[in-house]
Amino acid sequence: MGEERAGGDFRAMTPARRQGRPTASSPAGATGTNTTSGAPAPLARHILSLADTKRLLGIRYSDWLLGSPSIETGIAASSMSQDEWGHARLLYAMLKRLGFDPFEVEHERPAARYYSAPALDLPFADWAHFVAAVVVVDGALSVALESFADGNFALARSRVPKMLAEEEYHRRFGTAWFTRLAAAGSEGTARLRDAAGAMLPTTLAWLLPADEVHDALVADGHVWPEDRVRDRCRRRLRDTLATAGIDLDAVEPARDRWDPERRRGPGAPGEEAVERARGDLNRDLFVE
Amino acid sequence: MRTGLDEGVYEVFARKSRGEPLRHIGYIDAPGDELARVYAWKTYDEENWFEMCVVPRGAVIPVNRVEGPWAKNVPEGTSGP
Repeated sequence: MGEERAGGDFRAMTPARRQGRPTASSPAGATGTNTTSGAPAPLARHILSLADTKRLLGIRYSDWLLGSPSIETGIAASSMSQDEWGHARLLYAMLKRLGFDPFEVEHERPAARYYSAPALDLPFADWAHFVAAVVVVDGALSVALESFADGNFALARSRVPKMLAEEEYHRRFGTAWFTRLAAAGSEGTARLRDAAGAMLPTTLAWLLPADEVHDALVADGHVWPEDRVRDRCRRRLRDTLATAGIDLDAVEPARDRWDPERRRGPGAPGEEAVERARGDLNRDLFVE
Repeated sequence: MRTGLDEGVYEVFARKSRGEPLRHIGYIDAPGDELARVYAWKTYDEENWFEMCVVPRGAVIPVNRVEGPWAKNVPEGTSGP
């Protein structure tokens, strides 16, 4: 499925096709791509999937800087949004070590080439969706990062722990809001349950890809085996989700029409978000 | 969407180093202790604080003044200094 893709295709960002941008010092193609298919190698796919999900999550959080339930909540949303973008930046920068040009990866891909978690494809419909995403998507991201920080990729071991320290406040925020909305017994409770329930199947599939690419990542010691990730996810999310009547153990990952290259099912983030993620309107102002 | 959350005021105290005294840096509204901790940390993030604490405004008992933000916490039957 590669020939029909237009410029900006991730495969076009292999070191061999880099043009005019600062280049990485690592050997072309050695670690960044599968030299046969052109798809990103397991470690590159993992980093890109984490980075894209954080970037999109930051955009979705930023939609609620105004209009959230209180000024303090909006400030927290703003801060969390900036945390996510900072983390995404650090993750994209790791790709340089694998032979990619982070500028191209960050600023020149079309929406269809994003590797982000499907739960972030659309803006959050209401505050309940925001809260659900903090618990489900941000929570899954943190579990993935814990696993990555404990693996043998040196950049993850050195950079991810700081991210996780910042994420602790996201966890507290999400847990407190989720449990309070769940206990409110209002329409908000039903919306929260629906939102979290809708996000969980695709997010679990994102966290637990169960494909050969991920198996290779585990075999290389870059991340924990699936059982350990699943257990960590359960310990982090189960009790919180249960307050809204959701049984995490009963949720099956949704892997229909799985795209192993993008580590997700069909679809893509909305163009409006990707334009912001790429910085399309500020392109002439970029400073390298 | 009604959230069912009643907010209270929390006073925020912080210090930049271990040897420095805690100082009052502001206040936030929050619907509970846990969110107060998050909101305080995220709102007053202009410094790399060594320590930050929040105190429910209702728990601050004034000693020498009967006016100001903590006036209603003055124990009954007490007047000024």
